[in-house]
Amino acid sequence: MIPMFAIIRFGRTSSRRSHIWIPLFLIWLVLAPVVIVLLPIAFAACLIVRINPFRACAVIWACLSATRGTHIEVDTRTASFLIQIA
Amino acid sequence: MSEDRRKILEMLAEKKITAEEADRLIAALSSTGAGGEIASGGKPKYLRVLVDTNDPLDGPTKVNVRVPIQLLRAGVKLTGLIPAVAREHMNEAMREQGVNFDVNQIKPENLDELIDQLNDLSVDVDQAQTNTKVRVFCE
Repeated sequence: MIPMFAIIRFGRTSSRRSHIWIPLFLIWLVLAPVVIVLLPIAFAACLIVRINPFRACAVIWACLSATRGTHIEVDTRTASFLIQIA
Repeated sequence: MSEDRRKILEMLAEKKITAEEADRLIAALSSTGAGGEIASGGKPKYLRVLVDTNDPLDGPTKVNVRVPIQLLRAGVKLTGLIPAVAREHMNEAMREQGVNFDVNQIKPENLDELIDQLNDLSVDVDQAQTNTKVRVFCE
């Protein structure tokens, strides 16, 4: 399943814990019509470079789904950064 | 076989612990997953990288990264989409750099074998001079 939320935190120090929740499902909803419009072009491009378009779609979907669970957190004396994909 | 399990069996062989104690320890090890890591026999889900350093100039730095193993699989599948001509170019470029590696050999089934072996992966670096601790493991 593709990720539905992302949590991002950035700031100068970790003392200020202001998280930003990004509802990715809304972004997918917005992007869906664009993807549908661009799909024939993407299919044509795949056929030109001799790639199975259905396989390409499956792989892209797998990559997107695999990002779920990613957690990257860096805390230094001066800056703090967190990105979490759920 | 995990390192902890091996130690328990060695202690049993040396008769330092009884068979019942060894059984309890192995059961506890399996249930807790060896201190947060994967239970023996299970497939790892995440690759973890933990860095804890306290540099005198830059101050303390902590890095905590968790990457899904599934992302590795997806990445390998992605290589299958690279056109054959581009793959040949990649192989040629790597050969020029002294890396004799064939990108065409990267296949999901090969990765499965690698992931199975990641169960026992644990890299620990502890440098006292710079107070740096690095830990890489799968869970």
